[in-house]
Amino acid sequence: MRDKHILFLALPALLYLFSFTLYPIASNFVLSFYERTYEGALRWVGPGNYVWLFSRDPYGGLILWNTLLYSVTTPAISIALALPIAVALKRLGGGWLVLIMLPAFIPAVTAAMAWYLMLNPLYGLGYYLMQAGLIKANPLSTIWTVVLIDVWRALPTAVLITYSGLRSIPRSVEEAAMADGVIGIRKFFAVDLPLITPHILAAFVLTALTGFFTFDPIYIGTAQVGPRLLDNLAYYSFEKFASGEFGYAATLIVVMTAVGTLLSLAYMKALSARAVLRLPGVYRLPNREAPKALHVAVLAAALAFVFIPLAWLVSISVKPPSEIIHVPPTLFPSKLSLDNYRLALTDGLPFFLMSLYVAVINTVVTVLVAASAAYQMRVHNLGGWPLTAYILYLMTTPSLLYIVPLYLVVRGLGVYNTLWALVLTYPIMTLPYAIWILYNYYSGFNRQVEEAAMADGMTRSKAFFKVVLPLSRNGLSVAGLYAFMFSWGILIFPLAFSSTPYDLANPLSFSGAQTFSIYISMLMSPVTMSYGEVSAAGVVSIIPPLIYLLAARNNLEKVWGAR
Amino acid sequence: MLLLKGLKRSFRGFTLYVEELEIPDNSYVVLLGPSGSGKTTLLRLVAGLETPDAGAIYIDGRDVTKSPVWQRDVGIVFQNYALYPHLTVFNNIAMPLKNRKLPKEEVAKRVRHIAEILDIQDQLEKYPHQLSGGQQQRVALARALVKEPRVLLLDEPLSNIDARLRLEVRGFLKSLQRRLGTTVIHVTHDQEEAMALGDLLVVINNGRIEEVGPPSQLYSRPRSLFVFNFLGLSNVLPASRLGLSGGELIGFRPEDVVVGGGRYTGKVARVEYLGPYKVLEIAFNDVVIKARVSPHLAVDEGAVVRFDVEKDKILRFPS
Repeated sequence: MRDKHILFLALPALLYLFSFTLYPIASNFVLSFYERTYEGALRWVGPGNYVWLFSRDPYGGLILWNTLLYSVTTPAISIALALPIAVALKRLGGGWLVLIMLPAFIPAVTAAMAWYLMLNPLYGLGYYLMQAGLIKANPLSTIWTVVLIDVWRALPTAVLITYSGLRSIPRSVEEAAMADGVIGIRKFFAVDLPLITPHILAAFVLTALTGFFTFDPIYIGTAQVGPRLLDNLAYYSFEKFASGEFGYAATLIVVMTAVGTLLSLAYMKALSARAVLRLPGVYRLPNREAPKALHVAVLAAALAFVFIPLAWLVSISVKPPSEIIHVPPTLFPSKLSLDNYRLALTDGLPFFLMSLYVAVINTVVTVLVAASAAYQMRVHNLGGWPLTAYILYLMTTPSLLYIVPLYLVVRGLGVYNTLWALVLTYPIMTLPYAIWILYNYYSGFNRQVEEAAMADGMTRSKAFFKVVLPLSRNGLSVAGLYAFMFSWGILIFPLAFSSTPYDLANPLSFSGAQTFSIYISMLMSPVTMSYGEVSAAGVVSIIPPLIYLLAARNNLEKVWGAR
Repeated sequence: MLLLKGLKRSFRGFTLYVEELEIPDNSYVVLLGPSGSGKTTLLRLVAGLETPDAGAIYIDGRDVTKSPVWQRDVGIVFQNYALYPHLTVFNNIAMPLKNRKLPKEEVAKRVRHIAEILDIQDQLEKYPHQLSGGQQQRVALARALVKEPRVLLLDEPLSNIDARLRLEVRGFLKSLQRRLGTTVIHVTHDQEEAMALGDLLVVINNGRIEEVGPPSQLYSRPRSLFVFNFLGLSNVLPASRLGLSGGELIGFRPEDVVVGGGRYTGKVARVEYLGPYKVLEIAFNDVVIKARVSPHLAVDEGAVVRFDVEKDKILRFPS
């Protein structure tokens, strides 16, 4: 039943992915043996860059240590928080999940900015925390603030995965446990926890990746407290790239690629794991349901954790300018002022438009290209497990890995600092994710629909576009949500591939490609002190993905598999 | 003795109502009904996995309506067995005992005892996914029986077994019940399975109990037309068609039709050869009458035959 239409339909995605990922990965490796001289030429230095990183670089130790700390604490804390939240959700109803998911859908740069504003020891809630003696050190200058922001952003993933794990336990097994008299807390440890071990492992690896590649919080934090305090490998390599040291940046990225690959392999292993977490002494645990009040308290605490930084952000954004820089800070604005929004929407307009263009274009392109590849992969087993594994691998590698070689490509094509540079590069991060979502979505798809269309005389390609695609709306809308969220909020690609704001005097040139995330990060400097404008911009940056999230909410449930 | 009184459970436009049902000790009881009739709901109510909207359940005179499943002294075997995939067979069976914190030696002794009865003593170190479907079912039975429950509940226990093995497992279930002397409640939609196993059949239709009785009685002398139709091939027609008096419907089984002589003449419309017997469909007086005959009887489609119906086997149902 093979025919060339199958390959043809998947070709755009495959061609793009292979040329835009394999080349950079190889190119990084080659570049890591060179250094750029003062004149800009590349000079072979052999393993010199690696020797420098591990033995001579004065920041080497600090950076490796910070990286390790971020990659271990983020998943550990996220999972520890996610398990009780998932249990509470199961008891109180999954409808609350969408609220807890919110931090995963707002731009990372906005998340980081909101936390730094809130923890500010003079103008934020940080003032009261220090007054009360709850925190001793300045919250801006500690790496734990970065961990906190990472946990805030990783928690939704951890909750989602553990919660869907709990729901995947067959109802009859739960009833069998009841019949055996194993209930409540004891049942959780004797039955549930062992059965969701693969989910916990998967959530651990995914959140570890968030911690390992954390970038935006450090970018924002460094602007507050100065360089090198918070740096990890990801941020340090970006600094090296930005200062033109391509060889050393590539070296740092190769090291990250190696670790990231190990984590990806661990993730794939976790997805198929048979391992179970078995705790001794479970029969000594109390054999009763935890009181409902406890579940309510856990859920309330989770919602507070999610919403307090956002509430603080909204509160600043409507304060009059004089009230924003005020010690001690007021909790609520004395009067509503929309000046900040006026500023954010006039100064920020070119950035906003550029973000919107690239997000819309990239979402549409990603979804169409991903669907036609994912369907062939799932239904016609195109590429077999090696291709699936490669997609999964790309999904778990971060966009940072590609910036040095792609910068050279974008420069070479003459599209640097234009919309086209972003349109060309964004699918690297959105396409694998969209393919993976749709790949899973199509596992439950009735392939006889396609066969019936072909029996009615359509070619396979026509059947796909006329029949399969229109029936895939739920999956497309969820894949699109993730693509939109990434393309709307990402910071690192526009930082690397643009240098000026969108030129509104000459709008059809589509040149000047700085995005709204860059606008936010530029405002978030202690020099400009434009906290009002940045918080208004932050609120604005939440709105488009929020609208999409609410519109696609029901589809999310279908694709996540509501019972 | 298990007693259900005024039991009611409604959901999504469906209501199960049991006015009164008494299940004697040490008997094999089969709940039989078409799918969606409420038989599984009734089983789950007895188990305590569902709570009734009204009514009461008594086990040996003790009101257990409000008791959770683990306080009811029932063992349950789920349709898909619901073994714990992360535990060995031994630990699956031991779960209810360990949970009661019985001493280790006692747990081991009782697990081994029940494993021997079910002939799975050499599977104890395996995991459920290493077992065949039939073995998994025995493990599920062992786990349910190790607690020595007053009532054993079986939810469609033969539906996931190969057709080939079904007869064997059927015989095993019955002999197990006879050996252990527990009360078994078995849910099925297969009337042949129900009649083969049940000391008592409870036929359920559309949320109501149609009739209760031993299989032979329900097969040959049912009060309910539904039960008559459901328990096997049947002929139902107005009495006048056979020239009998009365305005009601009459029913009789194909085996109560004698072909080759008698008062009536009809044309054979179809012949079905089924191995041990043949079924003829005889067109007669604008109705079709099914007759069961010897497989050796030579008769072709289109042939005209004489037949009769055994008078004392004819049932009358109000129309």
